[in-house]
Amino acid sequence: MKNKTLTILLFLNLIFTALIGLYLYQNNTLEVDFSDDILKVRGLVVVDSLGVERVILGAPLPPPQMHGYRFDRGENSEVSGVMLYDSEGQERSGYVTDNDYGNVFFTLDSKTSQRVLFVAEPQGTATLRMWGKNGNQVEIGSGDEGSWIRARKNGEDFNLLNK
Amino acid sequence: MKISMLTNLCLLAFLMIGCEQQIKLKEAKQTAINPLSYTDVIYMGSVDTVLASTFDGRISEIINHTDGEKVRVITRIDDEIYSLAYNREQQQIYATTLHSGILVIDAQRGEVLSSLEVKNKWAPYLSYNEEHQILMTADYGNNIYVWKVSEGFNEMPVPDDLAGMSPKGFSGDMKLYFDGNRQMGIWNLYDNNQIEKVDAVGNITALDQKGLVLFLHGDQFRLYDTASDSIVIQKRHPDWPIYVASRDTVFRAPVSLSLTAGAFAKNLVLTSGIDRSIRVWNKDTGEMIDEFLGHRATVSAMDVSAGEDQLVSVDLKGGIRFWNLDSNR
Repeated sequence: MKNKTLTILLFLNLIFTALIGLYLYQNNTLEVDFSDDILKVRGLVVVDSLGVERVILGAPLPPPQMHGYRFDRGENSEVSGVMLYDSEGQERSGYVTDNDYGNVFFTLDSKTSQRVLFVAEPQGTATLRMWGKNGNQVEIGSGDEGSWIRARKNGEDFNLLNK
Repeated sequence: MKISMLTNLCLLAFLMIGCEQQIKLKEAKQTAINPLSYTDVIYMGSVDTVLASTFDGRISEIINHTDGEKVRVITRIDDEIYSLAYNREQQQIYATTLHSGILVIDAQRGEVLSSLEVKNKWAPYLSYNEEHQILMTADYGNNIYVWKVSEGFNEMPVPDDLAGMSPKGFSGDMKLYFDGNRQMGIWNLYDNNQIEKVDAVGNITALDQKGLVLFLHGDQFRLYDTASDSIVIQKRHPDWPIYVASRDTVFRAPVSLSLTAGAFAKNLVLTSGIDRSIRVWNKDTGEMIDEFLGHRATVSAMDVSAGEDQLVSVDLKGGIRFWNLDSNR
């Protein structure tokens, strides 16, 4: 009787061990497929081969860095959205909403400052601004009180919609 | 016997359930930094030995060697580091960080000894005077901190006239130099704490013994002479030397890019920028007399050795270079 029980237990053990082995073998390389799922995250980071963060999708986005230090965007200036960074890690472009006033921005930056700003304000005013060096700039906008195209070239201001 | 069998079956069942594969995602942060970037570099020894910091919290001792640089990581903290100062007498490193204030670190063991708190957010720069053992910084909440290191980091009260400015340097005659609000502020510690302010746009990056102040402003550097209260030299890098790796040659674009760091050495002014070059200028005439090419990224910081015969520079892609400064220029 005792031998029979031990034989049954041994047999069961072998079956379960084989099943466990089979299960582990099948799950050795696990492929995760989210193609039919919705991902809910606070942030996504794309890094290059050197580990430099090149694209961040986040809410909120981290403050930018400038040539060796991080600077503050200012009070109530947190933004959320997508940000692009160059190979040195510098913030160069963003497509974001701010977390306070309600603007939506698209920006293109040089390595030191913002050069293009396309913004829609919450009340409806839309503006495109482009900056060059030495104070040169162009601004195109439209709001409740009208539309405008303004430029500053070498210190001289031009209003291109005078009528 | 039945109990024994049931127990065995239960154990096997638990084992099977326990074998279910758990998927754990690796924890990650969104930092918007390049972990390779050097943020600051300062001389530790008289020549050839420097301290360098990175965005990802490393402080390393780097020794210039004919076979290449020898790197020893002194410490690695779980924070970002922006600026360094070194107290040779006490062998302490001071480091500005994002979350931990100003860290005081034992340079030999790498142990964090204490932290000097900043009230608002973080402080990007640090300035230290070895002779008088005064450590200075300002945070993004416009709070200025001046600590007397020799008196247990006793914080000195800062005059209200300097509000909104940042401490950037210290001259031998006990004057602290500040910039901000499109002005330069000079706080004279000897002369009844008098404050002198002059209009000057830019960031102070260096002071010399003759009272010259080196400002960086966009793509320009300016030499301000405190004796004559005037800007005596104002220059830009004349071009942008772009290294073309496929041809191993340098193409020069006729544009001036923004400057990032500057220093004095004897009769020289040294400036670096996002054009990845370092230019060497005659301090008296403003003539550009040499250039150092070799960095493959924006030069983020540089420092001159105590004897002013060697320059070290670091960049945002983890490059470090030592340059000899020929005194016969």
